[in-house]
Amino acid sequence: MKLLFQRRPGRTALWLDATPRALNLPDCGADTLGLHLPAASGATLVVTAATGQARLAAPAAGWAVLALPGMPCAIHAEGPPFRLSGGLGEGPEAPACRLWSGAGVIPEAHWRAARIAGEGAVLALAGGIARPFVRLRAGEMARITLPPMALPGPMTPVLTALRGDLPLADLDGLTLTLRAGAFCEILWEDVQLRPNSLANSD
Amino acid sequence: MTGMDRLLVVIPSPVFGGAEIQTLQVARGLHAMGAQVAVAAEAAVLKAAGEQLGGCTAWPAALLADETLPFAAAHRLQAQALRPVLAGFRPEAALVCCPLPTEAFGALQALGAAGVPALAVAHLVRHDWRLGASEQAALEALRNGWAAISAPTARRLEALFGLAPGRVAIIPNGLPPLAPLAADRARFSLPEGVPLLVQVGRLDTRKGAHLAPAIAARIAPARLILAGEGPLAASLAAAHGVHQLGRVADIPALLACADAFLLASNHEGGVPLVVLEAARAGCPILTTRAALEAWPHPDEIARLVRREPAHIASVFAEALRDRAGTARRIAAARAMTESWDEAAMLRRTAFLLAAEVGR
Repeated sequence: MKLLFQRRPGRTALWLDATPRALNLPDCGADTLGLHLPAASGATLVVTAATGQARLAAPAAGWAVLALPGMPCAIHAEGPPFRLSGGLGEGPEAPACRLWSGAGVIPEAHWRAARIAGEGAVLALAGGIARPFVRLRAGEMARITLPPMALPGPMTPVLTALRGDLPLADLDGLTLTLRAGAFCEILWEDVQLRPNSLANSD
Repeated sequence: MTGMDRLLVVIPSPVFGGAEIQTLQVARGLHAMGAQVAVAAEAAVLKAAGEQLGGCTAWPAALLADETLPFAAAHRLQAQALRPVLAGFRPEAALVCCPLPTEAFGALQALGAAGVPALAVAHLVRHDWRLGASEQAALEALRNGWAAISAPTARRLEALFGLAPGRVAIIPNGLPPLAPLAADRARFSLPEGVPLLVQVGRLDTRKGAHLAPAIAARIAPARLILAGEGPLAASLAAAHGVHQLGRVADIPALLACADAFLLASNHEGGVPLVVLEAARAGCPILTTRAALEAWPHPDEIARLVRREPAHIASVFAEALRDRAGTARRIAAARAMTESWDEAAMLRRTAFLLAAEVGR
């Protein structure tokens, strides 16, 4: 994924309610949008694009990331109003945001919502993508689970060993189980269709 | 989620060379990703870096003490010099360039004391180095993560520091793509109509600059071009057939003029930036085995030379004569730079930094 545009979050905030608020973002071909929340909300964030809408229910504090159906025009809240961070130096009229392009099979919001059983975290590049990371010692096991979604076929995990060697890996749906024979630090970077899958044959 | 937006890059180097250029390349890349990046280094190094700082903020700091001071005292002074930077910039994480393994211990101690997660990247680690007692004591107090620029360097650092295998991550150098440049010898006042063998790097014995006069005599009428500065510059100025350019800012443009690139270094360690630049430029590479130890099959991308002028001259002649063999190596070298490029290097570094934040 490539970061195309960003407004860093400042200390100001704006209240988002049911009234659509224009985003006034550059038309840069982005397919993923991040908006920054100073606190979690139980409401739904709705992004309206020329060709449809994207929704995110109960966004957590920090960056809320949505896959876009087109360039975003406006945002509004469904449910109680909630706060969005204003842009650094630009105030609340310009909400903090990030635009990316080049999402893979699994959307960015899914990677950010990964649950990790074991020592690890979802790591974020400075202004860009986030990926789950685990640290395993000899004989340890860890499990990373992404939210359910329909996949185009059987997948193989793409893993990077930041330290040590790759552990045994088993991907069942979107649950990845890792077993290490020696110390390692592993980043789950992506998934790819299995070479012999039907979905990859045409 | 673990992320970081304010990054401090620490370069405790006396000169601005390959390790420092590569570190700034990473600093600019992380800035382009959206991080706020400050670079702490000696004022002279920041001045030499000039435009290579990009959008990063320069923080001059006296990170290098008098060489005559004992290690522990130099270590304390370096830590003291970094503290105002930490107080002023308040970084969330730090990337620390280690031209030599223990050169940044003071900075790493200060970062640890301030609770700033740090990733230290070792550039040169020799297999015959051993830690002194004060260095060993300082090492035991450090809690930062370690990385190195090649697998052999990482393994030597683990041996030097007594770390378990696999504890040192590997971040090979990578370059951004660059379209082939047209040769423009007039720009560098280089002679036309004769083959040019170009050597880039510090003019010292370790990089093989002392061999230049004898090499020049043996390859005539071809010319030997030296780009770089160093302690041998004055003595080489009068050498017949050696053309000195001094420091050259645009190395890709110079390599576009070359018939071959020479690295007669006895440094082990790594993935020399200038070798990658030659590979990307499609310039035939003549180098020692030591300089290419990170590659398991270096003779597939370069012609290997011994540090002997007669051997270097004969290999240069062979590179000019055996066009098919040279073209095969050029293609393999180019493929190597494309398979691990700047984007891959930045991605690896950023995730390793974020992993330190979450440690």
